[in-house]
Amino acid sequence: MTTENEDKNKKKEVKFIDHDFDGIKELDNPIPLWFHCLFYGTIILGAAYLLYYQIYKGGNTLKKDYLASMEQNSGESPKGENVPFDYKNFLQDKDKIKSGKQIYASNCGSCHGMSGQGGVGPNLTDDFWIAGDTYADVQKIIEEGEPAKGMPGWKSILGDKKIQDLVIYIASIQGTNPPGAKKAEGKAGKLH
Amino acid sequence: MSLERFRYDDDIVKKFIIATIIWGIVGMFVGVIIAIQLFFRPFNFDTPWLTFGRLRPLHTSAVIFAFCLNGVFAGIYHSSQRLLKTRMYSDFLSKVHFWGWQFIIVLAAITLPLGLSTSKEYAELEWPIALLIALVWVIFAFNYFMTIAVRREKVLYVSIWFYIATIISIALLHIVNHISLPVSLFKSYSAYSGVRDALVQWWYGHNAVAFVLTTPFLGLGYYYIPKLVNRPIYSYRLSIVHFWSLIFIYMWAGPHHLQYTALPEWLQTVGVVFSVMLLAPSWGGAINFILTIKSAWKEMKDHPSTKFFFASTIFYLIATFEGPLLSFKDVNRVAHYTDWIIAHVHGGALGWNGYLIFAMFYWLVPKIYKTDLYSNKLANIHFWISLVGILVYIIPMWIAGIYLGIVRESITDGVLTYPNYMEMVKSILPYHYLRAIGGSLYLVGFIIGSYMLYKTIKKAGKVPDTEVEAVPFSNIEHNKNAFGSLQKAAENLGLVMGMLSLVAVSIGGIIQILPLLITHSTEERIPTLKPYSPLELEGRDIYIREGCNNCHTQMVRTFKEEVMRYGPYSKAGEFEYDFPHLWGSKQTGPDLHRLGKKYGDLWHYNHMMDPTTMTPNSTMPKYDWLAKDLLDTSYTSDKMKVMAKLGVPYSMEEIENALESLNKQASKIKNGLSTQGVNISSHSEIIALIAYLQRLGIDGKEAEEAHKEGNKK
Repeated sequence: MTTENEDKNKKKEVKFIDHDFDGIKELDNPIPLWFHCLFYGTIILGAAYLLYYQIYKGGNTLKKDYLASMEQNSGESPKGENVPFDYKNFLQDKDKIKSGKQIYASNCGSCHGMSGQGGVGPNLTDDFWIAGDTYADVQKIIEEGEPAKGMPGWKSILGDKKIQDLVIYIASIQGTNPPGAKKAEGKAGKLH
Repeated sequence: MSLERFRYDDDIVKKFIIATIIWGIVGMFVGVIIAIQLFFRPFNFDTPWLTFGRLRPLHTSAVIFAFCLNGVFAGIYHSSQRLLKTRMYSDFLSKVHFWGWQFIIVLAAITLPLGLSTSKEYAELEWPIALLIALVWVIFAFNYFMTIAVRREKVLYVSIWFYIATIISIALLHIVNHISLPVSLFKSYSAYSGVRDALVQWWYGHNAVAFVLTTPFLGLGYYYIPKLVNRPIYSYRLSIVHFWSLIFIYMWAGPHHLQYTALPEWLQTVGVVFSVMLLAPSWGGAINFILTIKSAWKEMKDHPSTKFFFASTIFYLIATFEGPLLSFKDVNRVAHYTDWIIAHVHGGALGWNGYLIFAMFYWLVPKIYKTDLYSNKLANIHFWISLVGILVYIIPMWIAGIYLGIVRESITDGVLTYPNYMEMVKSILPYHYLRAIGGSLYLVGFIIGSYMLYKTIKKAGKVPDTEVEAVPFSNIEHNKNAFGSLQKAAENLGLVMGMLSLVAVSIGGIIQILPLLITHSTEERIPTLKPYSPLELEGRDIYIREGCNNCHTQMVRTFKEEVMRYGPYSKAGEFEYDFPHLWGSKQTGPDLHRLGKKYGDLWHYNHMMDPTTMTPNSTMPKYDWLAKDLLDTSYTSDKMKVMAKLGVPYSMEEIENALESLNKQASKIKNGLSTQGVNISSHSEIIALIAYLQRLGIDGKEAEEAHKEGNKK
């Protein structure tokens, strides 16, 4: 038994590198097989990755993927543009007003005041309108903005439905005369 | 055979140990402060010097270059003398290195809060300090190579290979990335612009991680782990393979920091490929460490150093797995700009680097002071508190990062589900509370450990340098196989090792960076691109001074969601006059590249006075002093001259009339604001900043619109 064990140990015995550094010795163990697998595996994977993106996909995947994703999106909008939204039927829709109020608070309130009294942007509760006094005009100014005056366009950010809710909410706060209301700007006219 | 008697220079090691501990506490304390600022705005005490944008570079520099590198120096000076069986070549140069380095750190601690910054990450220090760093580094390198030359040991051990690669690579990275033209003593512009600057910066940034936080630490592990457990290194052959592959491959991985940006796509893909290939070489070292520790686990498990080494290696395994994972395009689109990256680097810095330094110190300090550790119990408490700290830090940051990465991309009914950026930020704030707690716990552990080392050192009192005897170099028997291969030659000759390392680390940079530097044509020209006006240029320098790029990116990536949120994606050509680039790497707030003309001047004025007035719940600090402080225009024309030298097409006339043009533009903005009820001086800094912010991304947007018009016609 003992001799067998000794034999095994001898076979297993790993050579030392014939040197020591400040008492540190190094074994001459072979590199573990799985290290080789990992090492060459990642090189092959890397090569495949390079070939896939640079050769198979032609090296401009970023732009191509981007354009593809934009096309998916643009398919929907023309329909919406063709049929103008009929605001009159929804002016009393409580869900829409509530949703519009939320959207207003997180996106519009900082410039137009939390109660629409105005601030950096104009007062939205009075009977004066810079960019037109119809619901469609309000929708349009929200969508496209007025970059020269610092009003960003919201169409790509909020989308049609949220903008409609916003217009309905704005319609609901007409004439509320909130405290700290900003002086009138634009042409006189009731929102209709 | 006669033996030579000599003493090791232990004094320099002791000095570096103490510096490591002091700067470690400072660096991490600043870290805790800025972690709190991210959810509690008043924590900058309304002073410009303590704002996040200025303190964050101080935190990263202090932890990387003051804490980690001082620790590395302590280990290098201690282990190299013993591995080379000689005292350092020159005690004087060692001291110059030590005091020079501490002086640089003090300068950093003064200039960064003052806002003197180049804006390039981990390379923020202005040119005079950068020069000083280069000088001190060369002194250190000279002293080190001379020490190798006067050694009493024929063969260079693995640790020395890693130290040599570190010394050479840091010099290369630091010098190339810092090439810039000075305007004044405190201001310079990077010699590279836009996409080129970004590429050089991340070649540097990524490899600062490699050659400050990885290679020297592997070298330390190769010495201190076998010394601690008194067992041989598991495999010499593995050391060779992983050393060379690691230093060669690392230098190629930089572009993975710029996925989906305006960087040429082939570079992005190459960045991924080499990041993936880094996995095995990184793990090679960890395997050697773990198998070496394992061979003596039973008898050593009660020594505090063993625990620290073991945990450190595990964190290294995790971080080096996470790195390649994060580089994949599809993972990167989610993780980039988010807290996931913060989790990743802190797993590395706190777990791998922090623990390894203490593993080393808990063995080294008693050895060098010839005493016992003051208390093993305190060391254990340090270990467990810090471990909880690390986990409470990185797990919430993982969650916050992945959450933000997913929700910011989310689209419902063709529109962004979360159009309001603050809504997303608000929902990850609780994770930021946890992160501040985790960081504080780590700091508490650190202080306990430091106190324990202080007690150990105090107990030991004054201890003379270690005296040893060794055979002189000329009397060592020559190994006949010594020059049988390149590897053997390198192991026998320090300079060969140095030259081979230099070749190995240079190739990646040459192939990736040179093509972009030589041919400017990799990017589409933007026909509408104009240089910044003098006022905008000054505004841009305020943006740099305040470190806005620490929280805001200027790089809209090629995603539908980002285009919907911000505007047209950023093109390389738009940044041609951006010396340096300001693409940023983290979105604590939204991207700013398409900010120009999105809001009015009044919005920006109000927002800078107090961001919460324009963005409820904003976590951004007030910058109200910008309205009071007057713009220093004494260097405006000099700045333009430097820009002109770098290639910005300013005419002589424009440079001569700089101030006139500046005043004109400033008055226009001031008058616009005063009609809206705000009265400030047209010379105030905020006017310049507004001018710059209103200019962001405008030229590119105009080009895009002109292009669209053209298509319609």
